[in-house]
Amino acid sequence: MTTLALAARPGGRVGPLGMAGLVLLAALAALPWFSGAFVQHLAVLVCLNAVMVSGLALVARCGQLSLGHAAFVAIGAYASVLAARHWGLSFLPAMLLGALASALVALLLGWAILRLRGVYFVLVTFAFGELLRLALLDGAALTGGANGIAGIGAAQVFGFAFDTRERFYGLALAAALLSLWMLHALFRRPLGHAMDALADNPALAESTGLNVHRIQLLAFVAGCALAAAAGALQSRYIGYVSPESFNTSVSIGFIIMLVIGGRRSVWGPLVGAMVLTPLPELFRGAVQTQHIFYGAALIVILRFLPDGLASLPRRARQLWSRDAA
Amino acid sequence: MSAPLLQVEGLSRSFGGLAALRGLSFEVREGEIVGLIGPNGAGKTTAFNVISGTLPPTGGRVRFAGHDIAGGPPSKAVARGLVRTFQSATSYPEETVAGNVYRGLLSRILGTVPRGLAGREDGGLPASGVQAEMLRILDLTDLRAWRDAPAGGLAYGLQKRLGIAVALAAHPRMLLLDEPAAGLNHEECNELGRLLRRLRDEEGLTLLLVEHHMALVMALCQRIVVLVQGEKIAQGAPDAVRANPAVIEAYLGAPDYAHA
Amino acid sequence: MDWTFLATQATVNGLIVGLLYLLMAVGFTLVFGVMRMVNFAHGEFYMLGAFGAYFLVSGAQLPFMAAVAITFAGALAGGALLEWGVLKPFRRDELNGMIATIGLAMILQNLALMFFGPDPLSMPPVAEGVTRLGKAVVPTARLYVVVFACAVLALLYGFLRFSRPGRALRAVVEDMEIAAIQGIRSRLYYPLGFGLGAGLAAVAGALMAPLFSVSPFVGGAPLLKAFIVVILGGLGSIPGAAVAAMLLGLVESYASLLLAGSTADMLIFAIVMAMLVLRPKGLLGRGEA
Repeated sequence: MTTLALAARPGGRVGPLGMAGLVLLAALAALPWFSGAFVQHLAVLVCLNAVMVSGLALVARCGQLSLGHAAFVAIGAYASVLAARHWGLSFLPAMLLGALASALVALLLGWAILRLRGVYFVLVTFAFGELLRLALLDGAALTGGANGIAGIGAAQVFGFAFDTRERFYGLALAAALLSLWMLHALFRRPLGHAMDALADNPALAESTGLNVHRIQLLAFVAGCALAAAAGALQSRYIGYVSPESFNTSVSIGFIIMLVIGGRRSVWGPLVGAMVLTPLPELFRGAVQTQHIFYGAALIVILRFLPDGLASLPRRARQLWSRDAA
Repeated sequence: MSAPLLQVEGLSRSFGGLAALRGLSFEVREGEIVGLIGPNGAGKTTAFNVISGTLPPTGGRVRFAGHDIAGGPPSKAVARGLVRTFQSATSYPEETVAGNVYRGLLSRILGTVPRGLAGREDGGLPASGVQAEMLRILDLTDLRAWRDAPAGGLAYGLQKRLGIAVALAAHPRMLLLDEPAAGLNHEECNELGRLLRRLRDEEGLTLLLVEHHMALVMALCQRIVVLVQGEKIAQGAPDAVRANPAVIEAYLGAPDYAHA
Repeated sequence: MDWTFLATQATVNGLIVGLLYLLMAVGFTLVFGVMRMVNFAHGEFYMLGAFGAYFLVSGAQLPFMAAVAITFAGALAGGALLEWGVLKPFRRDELNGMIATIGLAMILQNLALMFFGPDPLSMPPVAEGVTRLGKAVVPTARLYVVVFACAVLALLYGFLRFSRPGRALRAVVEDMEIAAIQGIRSRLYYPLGFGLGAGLAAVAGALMAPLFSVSPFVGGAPLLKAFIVVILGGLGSIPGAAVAAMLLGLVESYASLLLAGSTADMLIFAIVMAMLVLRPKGLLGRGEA
């Protein structure tokens, strides 16, 4: 549901409830700096996941679901690491290169497959994910094979090294906020509205002159590039990359985060990442129960709240106004 | 006699072994209202799909304002000024009426994709002009009173009118209307007729309708093209077509049908 | 190097493996045909079938064929129940339905992990020793599975061709709307189709339990093979799946003879992608892409 500035809507831009929410969020964001290493670690993962899932959200906004998203994270990670190692690029240029490489692959792949109907698109992206994983395993000379590449140095920007957890959290938080802001800005613009129109009723959108193929391609390329940038970041945090970190289960994890968080809201990826990343800790020792919970949550959300948790405020507002009317 | 705006020449379309259109040729001149009629399965919707660029033809040509538009994508036809409506799923149900019209304006606002990224709202419609254009279209289709209502909750007749409003937002020179009167009651049908005439007279639009509602077709259209099994079997003024024995046998049945 | 021997062996292996893949894939393509839904839980039904056979044979000491039959019946009923209880809201919603089956798969696999633990269990083999087919050598147990698999497939063919519910199911696969007009209640056939798909997956799992070990993780490979077979053969087409399964078995067999490591696997995925792009309908499939 888009909020058009053009449609008459009473009240200010951000109501008092929204303000309170933002303040709470700011407090939450600052919390890790006053907590132990463990909370900081989780916070970093949440931020990185939020960026990756934001990329998936962009792809999904156009009505397509990618089951190979982790492959594009992998391209970003590996490309940036290899560029730094073999060409001596520093962090930012290497990350950009990773994003560019991913964008290029997404352009070629997307151009060929975006016109496929939903189910087929999912299967192709799945096949692509597997293909890439096998290629990474096989290309040992370049990629280190199953062992991957270890000993990756910390990210450095203009001499400032993000080599402690506190520092890196700052970087990850900035990345998450930036990607959130970018999505927000996009979906207030005509291009974002066009993507929504496309997802809602592609035949109608096309009949009003929107070039479906081009817009979908743009969203796909942008989404994959975003994921790649996060992959480059992640590699500098964890310190190594290996093919198994980017397999189909990881892609499925992204899908779960997106669906539970919300496919139609800019907050969705963040909510999904926040809800799902720390859960392994709550369920420590009961990994199976945790996964059963994921599966059940997925089905329940799909059935009763298909736009995800992020759509709760809107739903509540609708119910409220319906009662008040 | 005004110049031909839409020229369909030898248009053919087959699905597997089934020929839905065989060598269809006709033209629509600027400012005309032309009706495309025929029994179910005659290929009328296929013709629309091919003419608008949704489906590629297996043979023949479609020219609009002198430009070849066959083969799509649909955005090509729309850019030239040929816009179609749909029989069903005519709107974005979760958007307001105003939101629907806004979405119809998007291709004009975007211009090309890079311009859209830069946030510049030009390319045929400046930012300042969007609001005014939306209101103009809502007024033209008499939907202003419902501007903030969710489209999905509208009455059926209003939803169909919204479909036309959305098509108008794309700034057409010619509209392809796919069964605009389907499911409308008598009063709504009269309103539709008045709207379409207004579109031709005041907006200078050319109209081609696929329709089963004979009374509307006979009253509204200056010319009628009759399609049976993918082929044109007759065309001409309503009276001539009504009296055409081949048409009567294939579609209209007894003369009383025409007055239904 | 006796190439004729190697080639014959590879061919025989390929055909046998192809038949096993067909058995794995046929339930999957049936579900897609009936419900236009990609069932990510397919592998987990296979896994549950394997466990069913294990417990019925090793625990309850039932004869193998009886165990397979009971497993089939259980999976048929269970699958139908799951479809009706969990997947009903997604009947017209392919994409969300697909995601829901991902959730279902997670639940099923982790339930199995919780109850059975992660360690692989092994069943006593159905038969011992090897059989000679001309120049090729085949483990007898595998041959048994092949024979049973053929029997199952023959039964399926008979069911779909000659029985009323079977013909109705086929009609639903062919064209939902026409079937509805003819009075076939698709509401009944969704659970039936899904149940049948689950049952066939479970039979495949049960038949292959003695050949490979049994653990909650055995569902991944059959799902993957089913994907590949069904994409290549065409979603919704059983004859297509048959052709594709045989081809896949043969290609894998020859490739492992001639190519190194994962090159064969990569080749398969590349072919799958190319197929989806160039001919999404697959070799013989129905359904628009």
